[in-house]
Amino acid sequence: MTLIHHLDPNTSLCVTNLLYNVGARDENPQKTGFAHLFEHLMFGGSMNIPSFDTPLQKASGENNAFTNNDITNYYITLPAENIETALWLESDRMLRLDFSEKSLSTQKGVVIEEFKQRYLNHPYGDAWLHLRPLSYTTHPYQWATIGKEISHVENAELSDVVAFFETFYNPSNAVLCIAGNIQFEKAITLTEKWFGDIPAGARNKNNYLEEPINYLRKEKTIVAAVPQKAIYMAFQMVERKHTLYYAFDLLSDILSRSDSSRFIEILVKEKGLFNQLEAYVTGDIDKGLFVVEGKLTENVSFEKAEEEIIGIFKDIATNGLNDKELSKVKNKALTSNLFGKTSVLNKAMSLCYGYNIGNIDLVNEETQIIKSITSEDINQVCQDYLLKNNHFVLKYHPIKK
Amino acid sequence: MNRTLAPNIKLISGINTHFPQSDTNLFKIKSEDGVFKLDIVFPNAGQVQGKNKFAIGMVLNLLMSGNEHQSSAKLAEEIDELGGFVFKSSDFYSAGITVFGLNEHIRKTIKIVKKAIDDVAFTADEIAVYKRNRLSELNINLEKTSYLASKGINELLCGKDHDISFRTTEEIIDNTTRQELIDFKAQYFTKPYFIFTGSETSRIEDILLENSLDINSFKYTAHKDKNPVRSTENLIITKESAQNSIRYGAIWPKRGHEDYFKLSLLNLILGGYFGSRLMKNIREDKGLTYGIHSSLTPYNDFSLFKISCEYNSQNTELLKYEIVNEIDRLNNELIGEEELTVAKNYLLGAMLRSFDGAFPISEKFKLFKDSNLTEDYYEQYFKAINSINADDIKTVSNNYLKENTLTYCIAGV
Repeated sequence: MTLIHHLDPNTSLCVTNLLYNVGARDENPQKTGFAHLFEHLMFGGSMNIPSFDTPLQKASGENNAFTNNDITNYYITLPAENIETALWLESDRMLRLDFSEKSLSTQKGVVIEEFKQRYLNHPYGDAWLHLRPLSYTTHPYQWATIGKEISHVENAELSDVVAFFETFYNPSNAVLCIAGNIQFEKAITLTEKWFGDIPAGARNKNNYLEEPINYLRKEKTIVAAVPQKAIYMAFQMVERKHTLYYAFDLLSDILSRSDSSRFIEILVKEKGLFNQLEAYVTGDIDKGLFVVEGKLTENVSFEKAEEEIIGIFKDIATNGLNDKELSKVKNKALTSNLFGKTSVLNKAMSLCYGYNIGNIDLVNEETQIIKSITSEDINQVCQDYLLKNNHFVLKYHPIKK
Repeated sequence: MNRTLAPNIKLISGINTHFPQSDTNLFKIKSEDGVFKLDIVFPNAGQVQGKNKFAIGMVLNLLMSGNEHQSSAKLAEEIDELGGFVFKSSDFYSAGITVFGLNEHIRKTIKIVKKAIDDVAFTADEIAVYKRNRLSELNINLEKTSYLASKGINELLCGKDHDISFRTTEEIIDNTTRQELIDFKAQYFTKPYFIFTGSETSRIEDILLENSLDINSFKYTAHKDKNPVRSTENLIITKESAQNSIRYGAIWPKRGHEDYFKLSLLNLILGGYFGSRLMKNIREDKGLTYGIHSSLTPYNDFSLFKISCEYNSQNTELLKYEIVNEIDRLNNELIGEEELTVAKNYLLGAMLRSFDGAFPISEKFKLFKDSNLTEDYYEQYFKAINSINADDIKTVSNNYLKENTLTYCIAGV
């Protein structure tokens, strides 16, 4: 296991961030949603400790976790003096979870309700359940972290849980960051004490089928009880480690991050075609998606909406950016970056994330990379990725009342 | 090494809860992070309630929307170019904007923001776009059981006409006029106070003064809440949905009341954190929901206690039974020492985190300012939490948390 230590003497707290190199992309296509369900089970007690949360709360700590398509990330914040409690708890659940039918059946219930609460019980909530399979035919990004469908969660078995644990939850497949008001010697001593005797296991090889590029526009229309038309356009983009990743990210800011952005100024305000329109990147490690998401104003057709969005890309590809368009989003990114570093938990998460994609210095290099992006890079993104007619369109049409 | 034994823990013995002091309306918190944050808060805007609250929100959201000579886009571009951000936030008792930016551009950034606020014209185009987008949001909200149930419980607890029950309607959106915006801005977006967080603490006064921002101390009148008119009925709102939303609620005393700190801990134990009884029973034991929470929201003259949960519609009776069961247990049984200690330590940890670092402190300080609390409030809170015992919890539970003092609203099928 790799340990990253970061000393921050200005806080009275300590955090641990433990990233496991496993996510929804590692799932069996017939048993999706499993990495996330597993994350829930990690709070159901471990071999030597019946409750994960209670001792931590007693030590004045707080914790949570998230799963995405690539990783599962667990984090704890507590008073610096009580750091050992965090390492005791994290190491015991890495050593051996307390597998039980009861915990599995309870958490299936919880996750099924989460599925409904987050994806089904509000308008447009299921967009990603449709958009992922539309955008990917081959790569495992074709399903959402919550799973393809509720039945996959319902059908999970205890033997799947044990196998998943044994394959992915081991020191070789994890990176731990201890950050805050703690010296290096103490961090390493305590880590060796609690994690030292856990069998190393093997690192996930992260081999996935590559998504082919088909240069084929695909679309899907959902007729649902939604108040107005909505459009989602997804474009295949580069992987996280590619230099152009930051060009996509900055382009999404140029398009929608402020009142001076192209989407807001032209399509929302000037032409009045959308109530809301934004662009963003999914930020996945493998080739992710550049997404445009909008709610159409009354009497605007889907054809018009799509044409106008593509029109903005064409304009950038043909005429380039205005003087300040790139510098302003870079400056805003710099401010955001500096603010991110005011939180010790944020720093710990970024350090682990950078390590996991192969560059522990990413957190320090990121501002420099952003500065180095040129308007030619943005042009290239538009020309080579957004104007190739290989995007995926999801449309929501309201049921006529 | 015995892994079953928990490492020793240290209890939090004290928290530095000191806020910035000032003779003026400018409060400064030092940080050395290369960035600054300036909150400009208008407590007078919080005096406006009821249907005019929409107009107040509209003024706030359009403060940076420019005029005939400078469009919102051009204005935003100037701020963006400096790496600046302007966020608007509207709370029950105040409205304000928060400017974030880079230290090196602090002077320019604040100058642009101040000029924008002075010169905003509320152009017809900006008003039209704003109204259209709010209506779109409203129509989406009206499809959500969570929105309907939250609205419903407020109406049951306080009455439909109470300020707390106010929600925007299509009619209010349509009828708000430009003249109202101009008048409301002139009347209520006055006499702000400022919270500055950053390294330029010695320059900030000059920067505000050169932009004619008045930092003289000003005494605000605390808004007097209307008396809630509570209904004893429950409410079922029928709505086709994948899940039901339930909200329970009761009116509890205000901050400063002798029972308030105890109620705050009672709320935590029942449903205020992941280790609460409702979460442990209804989520972690029975798997009936993704989350069940209780909350205690203080207003100037009372507070609202609520329980909220989204769940499978077939389980309504079971869910209600389990909630009432947890309430009965708090009324009839003494809480064990271990459970009480865990809750107290957790609460103190949460307090420690909220005072850790310049930016969290500035957030906390804003809440403090807007709530008219006494200087030593958090010190008292800290002491009070440490001294509360199991009998206290049982007593306040019996006094405030009876099934017959609670009302519920369900939205769903």
